[in-house]
Amino acid sequence: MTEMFHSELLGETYYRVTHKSGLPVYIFPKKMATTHALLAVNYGSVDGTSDENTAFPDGIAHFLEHKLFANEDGSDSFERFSAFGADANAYTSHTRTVYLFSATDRFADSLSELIDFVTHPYFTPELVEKEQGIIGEEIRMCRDNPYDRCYYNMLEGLYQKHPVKKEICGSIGSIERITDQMLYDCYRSYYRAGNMALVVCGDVTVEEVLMIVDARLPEVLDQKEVHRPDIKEPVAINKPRVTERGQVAKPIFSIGVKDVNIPADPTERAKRDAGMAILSEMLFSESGELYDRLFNSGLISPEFSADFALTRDFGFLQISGESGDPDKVLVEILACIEEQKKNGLSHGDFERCRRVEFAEYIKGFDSTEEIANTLIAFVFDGAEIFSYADILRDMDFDYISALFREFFDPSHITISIITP
Amino acid sequence: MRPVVQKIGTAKLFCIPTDRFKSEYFSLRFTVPLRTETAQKNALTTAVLGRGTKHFPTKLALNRHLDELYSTAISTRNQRLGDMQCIGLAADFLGARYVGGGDGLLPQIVSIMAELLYAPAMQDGLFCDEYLESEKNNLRDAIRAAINNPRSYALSKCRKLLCGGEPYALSLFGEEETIDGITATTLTERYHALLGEIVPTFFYVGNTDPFKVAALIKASFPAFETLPSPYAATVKRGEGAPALATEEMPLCQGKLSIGFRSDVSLGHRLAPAMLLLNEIFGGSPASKLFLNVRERRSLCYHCSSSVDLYKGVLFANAGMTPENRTLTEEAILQEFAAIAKGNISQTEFEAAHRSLEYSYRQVFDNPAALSDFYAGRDLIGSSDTVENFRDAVSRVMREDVVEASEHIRQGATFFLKGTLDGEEDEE
Repeated sequence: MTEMFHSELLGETYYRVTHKSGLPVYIFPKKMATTHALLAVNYGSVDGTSDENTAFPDGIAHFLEHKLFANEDGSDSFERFSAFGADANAYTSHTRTVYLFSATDRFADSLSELIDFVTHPYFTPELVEKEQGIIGEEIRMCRDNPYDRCYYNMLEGLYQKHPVKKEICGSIGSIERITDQMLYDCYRSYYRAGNMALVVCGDVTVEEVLMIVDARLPEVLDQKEVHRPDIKEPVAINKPRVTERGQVAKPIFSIGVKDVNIPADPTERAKRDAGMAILSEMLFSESGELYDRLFNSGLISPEFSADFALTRDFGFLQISGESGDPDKVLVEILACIEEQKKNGLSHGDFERCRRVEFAEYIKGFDSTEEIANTLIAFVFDGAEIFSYADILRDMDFDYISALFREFFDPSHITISIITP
Repeated sequence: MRPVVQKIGTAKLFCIPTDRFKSEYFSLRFTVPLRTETAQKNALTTAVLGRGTKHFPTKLALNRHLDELYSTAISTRNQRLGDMQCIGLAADFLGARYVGGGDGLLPQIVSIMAELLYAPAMQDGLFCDEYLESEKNNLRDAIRAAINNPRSYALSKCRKLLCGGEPYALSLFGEEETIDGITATTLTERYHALLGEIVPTFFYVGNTDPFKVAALIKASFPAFETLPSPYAATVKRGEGAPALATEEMPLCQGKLSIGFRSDVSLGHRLAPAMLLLNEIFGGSPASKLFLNVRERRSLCYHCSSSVDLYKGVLFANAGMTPENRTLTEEAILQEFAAIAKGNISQTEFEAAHRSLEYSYRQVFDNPAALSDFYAGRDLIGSSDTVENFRDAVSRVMREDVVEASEHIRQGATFFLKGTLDGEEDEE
């Protein structure tokens, strides 16, 4: 059965089909030069156990992502994509693993390759050993990146137990424990039809895509439910302040605010996400009074940003920048929050920032890559991409005001600083 | 998707009429000689201009105005193109159908861009001291922050070694020592001199009629009567032994950057072959550096190459355990030597062709990339379209790549040596 989703506002339509193999397929036809396809697994660095509840070494999701490109005949899928003229890549985040390509030609060949290599794991001890060298270098590279250090230290400050604080690549020690057998176990535990999705956005038809999926996935895939441990993260943060020395000219900081009221219902979660996007725009954007004050006083450098991340079991706001005195930045932010709690938020700011979010949302539909990536994020979170416009339209000032009062509890805030 | 080109005095406007995007794109850029005496002041002028205009005298007022224009973001550009400094502004904004129809936001975007350049916030005819001092601090921070990113730090050091004494080697931000000496008077003087040099290339992607776009520009901008600064770039093959330098930093990894020079730049007959050579060498995941140095020998996580055809230079960059520096350097140079010997497999050759073909097809989805292509070609006096340049690339043969390699000499190697023990484990 094909389900159709249409947005009058955007003039866009996409389709959802559960393929007979069990794989959910999303097709978003759009007349662009580049077609973007991704095959994603709802499995990231936070999902660290097997069906038998034994813990996998940290960094295994990312390791698996690297190694899946190797094929039994000794070839590498990267090379095959290159032969078709496609630009292929993959990434692992805290919550998902995504294999992708962009193509302007020979789309069918590339899509076939994408499905083939992701559904045909092939690992050997020799391949694992070789990859340990490459990923070891990636880990060293991340250690040398002060922005990465600052981010992970912030998560260490926010979370007592949640594995989101563990580095996605793992550590040199943890990846050395990974074996080919573990990769197979891990693959079987998470790479199951219902835990994956294929998204294609570009100059394609539903029939064309389904014909390729039919040819590549003739059999029903593993349909078993995925076991996901319930992570009991305490409400309290772990540490209010984490500092480390690093290769920076001036201190950089990430202030984290832990979300301790994550709605279980995906629609409510999407609303909270939209609300926080508007709220961070109101409080921390370059059009806000706080930024103006911090910037004009020379306390922060021009690059200053706030991003909210929300998933099924963790959420946080990250406010990052560079400052000669990050602790003072935090004091100013807390004072600003207190002041606004006393005087109330501005309705005018709310309308302006909602409009900003709306414009950004619409602009996102100019890129097939951005559409595919946003679509999968909505799919895995149980929400629907077009309904986000309705959420923004129906958002009311009272909801934002209540969210503001509830979210910014000073005891849920941590600051991470990298000093020169 | 060929642009409609119009002259506006001595300036040029490229329009790509299309309604395939939900947003529209408008940019301007101008190019001036890259010189020690002016580069820093040009960069600082651009930053101060962004602080406020006559009608929106503060950054807050300006940002709120842009928010009112449906979250329009205006980005600035300060880059080197050959031995020139290219400065520009670009706006990506919501199309007319989403903002109540009519002419949409374009008239207001053109107007605010002209105001940013020609009507800055001033006090008694000079840039405001407050803005100047604040931007001097930001510039100082930006110069110092080069060490925050070891990869680009190593590349920048290698560029300086490779083209020492030439404008290309200069920092676009200038040196820290000269910042203090800049005053509101000297910067305002530089600003006025710069105004005399500005002959922009405008670029628009959207569904407004090109003649209307030209009329909007004429209504907001002054008449352009002077000729643009002639394009300049010293392009030559490397000579003598490569320049070598090493620095230490408390890092786990080492960063190696190898620079090559050639006498092949964008207008040269072998320019398409040079692009293909870079693809085969380290430009994609199907390249020799990725497959052999990274995948087969596991020496690095990142190992790639990039080419800058405005200057005819090529760089290979890699990050590795410091002890593996020599092995990696030898491996990179071996791969280059293999290309020079014509040791290019059919698979490598075809993959490089396909990769470039992809690059020149996907440009059409990206207004900023289209703008870069056409403004860049215009700068060097070429009337190439994306389509005919892609055709030229598609005709490159293996012998052309080998011939291009004969024009290339290694000119510099810079190594940033990490001094931390990368094996320590926090588990």
